[in-house]
Amino acid sequence: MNYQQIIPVTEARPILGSLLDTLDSNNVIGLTKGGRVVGVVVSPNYLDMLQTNTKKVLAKTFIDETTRPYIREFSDEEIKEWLKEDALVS
Amino acid sequence: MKKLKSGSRKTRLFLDSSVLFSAVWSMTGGSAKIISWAQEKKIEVVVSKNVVAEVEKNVGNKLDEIYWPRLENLLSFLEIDRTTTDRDEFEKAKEVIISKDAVILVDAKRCQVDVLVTLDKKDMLQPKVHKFMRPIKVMTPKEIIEMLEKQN
Repeated sequence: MNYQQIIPVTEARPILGSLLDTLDSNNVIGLTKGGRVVGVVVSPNYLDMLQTNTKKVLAKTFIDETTRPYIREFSDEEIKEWLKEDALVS
Repeated sequence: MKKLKSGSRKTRLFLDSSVLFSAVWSMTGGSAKIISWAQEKKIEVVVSKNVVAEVEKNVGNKLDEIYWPRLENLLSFLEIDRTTTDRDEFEKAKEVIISKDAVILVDAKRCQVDVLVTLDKKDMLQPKVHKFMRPIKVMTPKEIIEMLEKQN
Protein backbone atom coordinates (compact mmCIF):
# COMPACT_ATOMS: atom_id res chain seq x y z
CA MET A 1 0.00 0.00 0.00
CA ASN A 2 1.30 3.45 -0.91
CA TYR A 3 0.40 6.03 1.69
CA GLN A 4 0.33 9.75 1.10
CA GLN A 5 1.16 10.10 4.77
CA ILE A 6 1.43 7.89 7.83
CA ILE A 7 0.59 9.49 11.18
CA PRO A 8 -0.13 8.22 14.72
CA VAL A 9 -3.80 8.33 15.70
CA THR A 10 -3.00 10.55 18.68
CA GLU A 11 -1.37 13.15 16.41
CA ALA A 12 -4.13 12.89 13.80
CA ARG A 13 -7.01 13.42 16.23
CA PRO A 14 -6.56 17.20 16.82
CA ILE A 15 -5.72 17.95 13.16
CA LEU A 16 -8.23 15.66 11.45
CA GLY A 17 -9.98 18.56 9.69
CA SER A 18 -6.82 19.85 8.11
CA LEU A 19 -5.70 16.30 7.23
CA LEU A 20 -8.92 15.81 5.28
CA ASP A 21 -8.30 19.09 3.43
CA THR A 22 -4.95 17.75 2.20
CA LEU A 23 -6.37 14.39 1.11
CA ASP A 24 -6.01 13.86 -2.64
CA SER A 25 -8.68 11.90 -4.47
CA ASN A 26 -6.35 8.95 -5.13
CA ASN A 27 -4.41 8.88 -1.90
CA VAL A 28 -4.52 7.17 1.44
CA ILE A 29 -3.50 8.41 4.87
CA GLY A 30 -2.42 5.67 7.25
CA LEU A 31 -3.21 5.95 10.96
CA THR A 32 -0.92 4.09 13.34
CA LYS A 33 -1.32 2.78 16.86
CA GLY A 34 1.63 1.18 18.62
CA GLY A 35 3.75 1.69 15.49
CA ARG A 36 1.41 -0.28 13.18
CA VAL A 37 -1.04 1.05 10.61
CA VAL A 38 -4.44 0.17 12.08
CA GLY A 39 -6.70 2.36 9.96
CA VAL A 40 -6.78 4.47 6.85
CA VAL A 41 -8.45 7.66 5.67
CA VAL A 42 -9.52 7.85 2.03
CA SER A 43 -11.70 10.21 0.04
CA PRO A 44 -15.24 9.08 -0.86
CA ASN A 45 -14.25 9.16 -4.55
CA TYR A 46 -11.30 6.86 -3.94
CA LEU A 47 -13.44 4.40 -1.94
CA ASP A 48 -16.09 4.44 -4.66
CA MET A 49 -13.45 3.73 -7.30
CA LEU A 50 -12.05 0.80 -5.26
CA GLN A 51 -15.50 -0.72 -4.76
CA THR A 52 -16.44 -0.32 -8.42
CA ASN A 53 -13.19 -1.93 -9.57
CA THR A 54 -13.60 -4.79 -7.10
CA LYS A 55 -17.08 -5.50 -8.47
CA LYS A 56 -15.70 -5.53 -12.03
CA VAL A 57 -12.98 -8.02 -11.08
CA LEU A 58 -15.39 -10.26 -9.17
CA ALA A 59 -17.80 -10.25 -12.12
CA LYS A 60 -15.11 -12.00 -14.15
CA THR A 61 -14.79 -14.79 -11.55
CA PHE A 62 -17.27 -17.25 -10.07
CA ILE A 63 -17.16 -15.48 -6.72
CA ASP A 64 -20.42 -13.97 -5.52
CA GLU A 65 -19.87 -11.24 -2.94
CA THR A 66 -23.23 -11.97 -1.27
CA THR A 67 -22.63 -15.67 -0.78
CA ARG A 68 -18.85 -15.76 -0.38
CA PRO A 69 -19.13 -16.35 3.42
CA TYR A 70 -20.94 -19.61 2.69
CA ILE A 71 -18.24 -21.03 0.43
CA ARG A 72 -16.63 -23.57 2.71
CA GLU A 73 -13.98 -26.26 2.84
CA PHE A 74 -15.24 -29.84 2.65
CA SER A 75 -14.21 -32.22 5.41
CA ASP A 76 -12.40 -35.45 4.55
CA GLU A 77 -15.21 -37.35 6.23
CA GLU A 78 -17.97 -35.90 4.06
CA ILE A 79 -15.94 -36.42 0.89
CA LYS A 80 -15.54 -40.07 1.87
CA GLU A 81 -19.32 -40.34 2.36
CA TRP A 82 -20.02 -38.71 -1.01
CA LEU A 83 -17.67 -41.03 -2.89
CA LYS A 84 -19.25 -44.04 -1.22
CA GLU A 85 -22.73 -42.82 -2.17
CA ASP A 86 -21.56 -41.96 -5.69
CA ALA A 87 -20.16 -45.41 -6.47
CA LEU A 88 -22.32 -47.19 -9.03
CA VAL A 89 -20.94 -50.63 -8.17
CA SER A 90 -20.70 -51.42 -4.45
CA MET B 1 -29.24 -44.19 -26.11
CA LYS B 2 -32.15 -41.88 -26.83
CA LYS B 3 -32.37 -38.39 -25.37
CA LEU B 4 -33.51 -38.52 -21.79
CA LYS B 5 -36.60 -36.38 -21.77
CA SER B 6 -39.01 -35.05 -19.20
CA GLY B 7 -42.26 -34.77 -21.17
CA SER B 8 -41.40 -33.24 -24.54
CA ARG B 9 -38.10 -31.69 -23.49
CA LYS B 10 -34.76 -32.80 -22.10
CA THR B 11 -34.54 -33.37 -18.38
CA ARG B 12 -32.80 -30.41 -16.70
CA LEU B 13 -30.66 -31.07 -13.62
CA PHE B 14 -28.90 -28.83 -11.11
CA LEU B 15 -25.75 -30.27 -9.52
CA ASP B 16 -24.70 -29.21 -6.05
CA SER B 17 -21.05 -28.94 -4.98
CA SER B 18 -20.88 -32.51 -3.66
CA VAL B 19 -21.81 -33.91 -7.08
CA LEU B 20 -19.49 -31.71 -9.13
CA PHE B 21 -16.60 -32.35 -6.73
CA SER B 22 -17.20 -36.12 -6.83
CA ALA B 23 -17.30 -36.04 -10.63
CA VAL B 24 -13.88 -34.37 -10.61
CA TRP B 25 -12.50 -36.95 -8.18
CA SER B 26 -13.98 -40.13 -9.68
CA MET B 27 -14.43 -40.83 -13.37
CA THR B 28 -16.51 -43.95 -12.71
CA GLY B 29 -19.12 -42.68 -10.24
CA GLY B 30 -22.71 -41.63 -10.81
CA SER B 31 -21.81 -37.93 -10.78
CA ALA B 32 -19.38 -38.36 -13.69
CA LYS B 33 -21.98 -40.43 -15.56
CA ILE B 34 -24.51 -37.60 -15.29
CA ILE B 35 -22.01 -35.16 -16.77
CA SER B 36 -21.19 -37.61 -19.55
CA TRP B 37 -24.89 -37.55 -20.46
CA ALA B 38 -24.71 -33.75 -20.55
CA GLN B 39 -21.68 -34.02 -22.84
CA GLU B 40 -23.75 -36.26 -25.15
CA LYS B 41 -26.57 -33.67 -24.95
CA LYS B 42 -29.04 -36.23 -23.62
CA ILE B 43 -29.85 -34.04 -20.64
CA GLU B 44 -29.25 -30.42 -19.61
CA VAL B 45 -27.08 -29.88 -16.56
CA VAL B 46 -26.64 -26.56 -14.82
CA VAL B 47 -24.50 -25.36 -11.92
CA SER B 48 -24.39 -21.93 -10.31
CA LYS B 49 -21.32 -19.77 -9.83
CA ASN B 50 -21.55 -20.52 -6.10
CA VAL B 51 -21.16 -24.23 -6.84
CA VAL B 52 -18.21 -23.59 -9.16
CA ALA B 53 -16.51 -21.27 -6.64
CA GLU B 54 -16.89 -23.85 -3.85
CA VAL B 55 -15.63 -26.73 -5.98
CA GLU B 56 -12.70 -24.66 -7.27
CA LYS B 57 -11.73 -23.88 -3.68
CA ASN B 58 -11.86 -27.53 -2.64
CA VAL B 59 -10.16 -28.92 -5.72
CA GLY B 60 -7.37 -26.44 -4.98
CA ASN B 61 -7.15 -27.43 -1.32
CA LYS B 62 -7.89 -31.16 -1.41
CA LEU B 63 -6.77 -32.55 -4.76
CA ASP B 64 -3.59 -32.66 -6.84
CA GLU B 65 -3.01 -30.19 -9.65
CA ILE B 66 -3.82 -32.85 -12.23
CA TYR B 67 -7.51 -32.51 -11.30
CA TRP B 68 -7.70 -28.87 -12.46
CA PRO B 69 -7.88 -29.71 -16.19
CA ARG B 70 -10.53 -32.31 -15.39
CA LEU B 71 -12.66 -29.69 -13.60
CA GLU B 72 -12.28 -27.30 -16.55
CA ASN B 73 -13.19 -30.08 -18.96
CA LEU B 74 -16.32 -31.06 -17.00
CA LEU B 75 -17.43 -27.42 -16.73
CA SER B 76 -17.27 -27.07 -20.50
CA PHE B 77 -20.26 -29.44 -20.77
CA LEU B 78 -22.36 -27.61 -18.19
CA GLU B 79 -24.41 -24.45 -18.21
CA ILE B 80 -23.06 -22.05 -15.58
CA ASP B 81 -25.65 -19.71 -14.14
CA ARG B 82 -23.92 -16.51 -13.04
CA THR B 83 -26.92 -14.79 -11.47
CA THR B 84 -26.35 -13.33 -8.02
CA THR B 85 -28.30 -15.15 -5.31
CA ASP B 86 -31.48 -13.31 -4.34
CA ARG B 87 -31.26 -12.15 -0.72
CA ASP B 88 -35.00 -12.55 0.07
CA GLU B 89 -35.13 -16.07 -1.36
CA PHE B 90 -31.97 -16.90 0.58
CA GLU B 91 -33.59 -15.79 3.84
CA LYS B 92 -36.62 -18.01 3.10
CA ALA B 93 -34.41 -21.02 2.35
CA LYS B 94 -32.49 -20.49 5.60
CA GLU B 95 -35.69 -21.35 7.44
CA VAL B 96 -35.47 -24.96 6.22
CA ILE B 97 -31.74 -25.55 6.01
CA ILE B 98 -28.37 -24.17 7.14
CA SER B 99 -26.93 -21.19 5.25
CA LYS B 100 -24.35 -23.09 3.19
CA ASP B 101 -27.07 -25.27 1.68
CA ALA B 102 -29.70 -22.51 1.51
CA VAL B 103 -27.61 -20.91 -1.25
CA ILE B 104 -27.86 -24.11 -3.29
CA LEU B 105 -31.63 -24.40 -2.86
CA VAL B 106 -32.14 -20.82 -4.07
CA ASP B 107 -29.81 -21.32 -7.04
CA ALA B 108 -31.53 -24.56 -8.09
CA LYS B 109 -34.98 -22.95 -7.89
CA ARG B 110 -33.86 -19.99 -9.96
CA CYS B 111 -32.44 -22.25 -12.67
CA GLN B 112 -35.86 -23.85 -13.19
CA VAL B 113 -34.59 -27.43 -13.17
CA ASP B 114 -36.49 -30.67 -12.81
CA VAL B 115 -34.14 -32.18 -10.26
CA LEU B 116 -31.57 -30.96 -7.74
CA VAL B 117 -28.87 -33.65 -7.60
CA THR B 118 -26.91 -34.02 -4.36
CA LEU B 119 -24.83 -36.54 -2.44
CA ASP B 120 -25.45 -34.76 0.85
CA LYS B 121 -27.97 -37.17 2.37
CA LYS B 122 -27.63 -35.75 5.87
CA ASP B 123 -28.72 -32.18 5.13
CA MET B 124 -30.29 -32.05 1.67
CA LEU B 125 -32.31 -35.24 1.40
CA GLN B 126 -34.73 -34.30 4.15
CA PRO B 127 -38.57 -34.04 4.02
CA LYS B 128 -38.53 -30.28 4.77
CA VAL B 129 -36.14 -29.70 1.87
CA HIS B 130 -38.29 -31.80 -0.50
CA LYS B 131 -41.31 -29.74 0.56
CA PHE B 132 -39.51 -26.42 0.08
CA MET B 133 -38.21 -27.40 -3.37
CA ARG B 134 -41.50 -28.64 -4.85
CA PRO B 135 -42.07 -29.18 -7.78
CA ILE B 136 -38.29 -29.68 -8.11
CA LYS B 137 -37.23 -33.15 -6.98
CA VAL B 138 -34.15 -33.68 -4.81
CA MET B 139 -32.29 -36.89 -5.64
CA THR B 140 -28.89 -38.59 -5.50
CA PRO B 141 -26.98 -39.32 -8.73
CA LYS B 142 -27.80 -43.01 -8.36
CA GLU B 143 -31.52 -42.28 -8.05
CA ILE B 144 -31.64 -39.94 -11.04
CA ILE B 145 -29.65 -42.40 -13.17
CA GLU B 146 -32.06 -45.20 -12.30
CA MET B 147 -35.06 -42.97 -13.00
CA LEU B 148 -33.79 -41.74 -16.35
CA GLU B 149 -32.69 -45.19 -17.50
CA LYS B 150 -36.12 -46.56 -16.60
CA GLN B 151 -37.81 -43.73 -18.57
CA ASN B 152 -35.64 -44.52 -21.53
